[in-house]
Amino acid sequence: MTKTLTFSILLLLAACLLQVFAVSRLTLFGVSPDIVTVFLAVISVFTGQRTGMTYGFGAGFLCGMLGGNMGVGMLTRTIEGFVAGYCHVPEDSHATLTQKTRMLYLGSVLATFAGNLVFNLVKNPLGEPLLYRIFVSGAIACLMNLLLTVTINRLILRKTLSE
Amino acid sequence: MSACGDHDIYLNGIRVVQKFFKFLVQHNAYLYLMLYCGISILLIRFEQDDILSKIRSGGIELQASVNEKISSYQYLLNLRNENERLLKINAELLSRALSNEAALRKARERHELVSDSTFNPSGYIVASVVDRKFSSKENMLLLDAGRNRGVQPDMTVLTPRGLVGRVVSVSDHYAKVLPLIHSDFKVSVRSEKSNAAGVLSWNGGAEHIAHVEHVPISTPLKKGELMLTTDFSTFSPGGIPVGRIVRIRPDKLFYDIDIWLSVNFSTLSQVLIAPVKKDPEKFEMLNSDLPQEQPANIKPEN
Repeated sequence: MTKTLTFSILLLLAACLLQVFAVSRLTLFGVSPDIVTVFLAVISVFTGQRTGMTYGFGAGFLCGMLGGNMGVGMLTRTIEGFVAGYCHVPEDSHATLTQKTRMLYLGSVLATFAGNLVFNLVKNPLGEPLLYRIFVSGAIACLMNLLLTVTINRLILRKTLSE
Repeated sequence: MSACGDHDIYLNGIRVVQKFFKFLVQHNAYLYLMLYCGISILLIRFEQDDILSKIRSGGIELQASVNEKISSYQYLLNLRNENERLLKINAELLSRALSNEAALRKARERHELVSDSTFNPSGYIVASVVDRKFSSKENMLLLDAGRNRGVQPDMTVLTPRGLVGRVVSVSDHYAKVLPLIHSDFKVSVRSEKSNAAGVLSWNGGAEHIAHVEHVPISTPLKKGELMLTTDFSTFSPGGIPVGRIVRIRPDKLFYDIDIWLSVNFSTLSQVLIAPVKKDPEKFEMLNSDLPQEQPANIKPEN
């Protein structure tokens, strides 16, 4: 249990650093993919809302501290963890691989959209119209994160999910 | 009865607390959400607080330093490409600088040539020496002015300092010059002071020393006298300096004179080409008698 927890925290840390120093540089129409959101979606879908939120809170603190938006970052990540938690697949659910994968993708998209919504309601760094930020930027962010989730799922998670 | 009533109240209280905790356990996710959101909102609210500002600025500094490191690694990775790019730019700039320098030097030399106050260059063609061969097989100069610029065979090549040679063949853009320091080259010269005439030739050896023959020993000559071309020449205008006497050896009838040539052939780069001397009648007469000077396309002067 402790081992898994330590591993998860280290992964979260790595995801935050990767996001702040590398992934955030890849932008499309001012939107960049978010590996932390994907990570939170994975955690929330497989361990539940509460854990997801806690990880989100921590990730928000870390990313916000490095990026200068601590409060907003924590709020956004917490919401992301909470929303993705609605797609939680309990260990004893007997869900098939396809169902688990669908829930993962759905959790990722929902978390991204919710996080984007909260962030845009609080901050507007590019001075764009609110609706544009929520729907257009949100849609692009959802698409990018979905692609990222699919990639991560295919490369890393598939084996774990099938077990 | 009252004790029984108190006990009921107590049990009810316990039930309420149990229900509350049961509710908390069932809906703890919302509580967590409220807690985390509350903390986050407080942080947003007190974002400008000293401690939070310090944490934030520390984080930004950390991010900046890491970014700097990443950039430095990227720089190292790109160093090879950057080096190649700079080498190309360097080569290009070096080529430009050399070209500019050569053009400047050429312009300066031309300016020096035409600005000589003792010489009127009007009617003369200015040319550059583009090649020079000084060997046992060939001794000639190649100029970058040819037929297109009006150069003709037998034109005299000179500098304000003195005589250089004679054009012997011409192409559209180049002219080949038989220099004074060629064993086939001969020109009649005279002393500046005494007007004593002789024939100048070069017999090999030192590049700056030529010989004058056929000067009668009755003529008063001194070392250091300037020798000029004569008007007898079929190609050269008269009065062009040739050199100064450095040695005089009297023979039976004539002096054997060495002169130090005025032109330094080793550093020659810009020259003037004098208009051709047109005197066909004189040329015809000389050809019919004893020719002292002949056009280069037939035979060198003698």
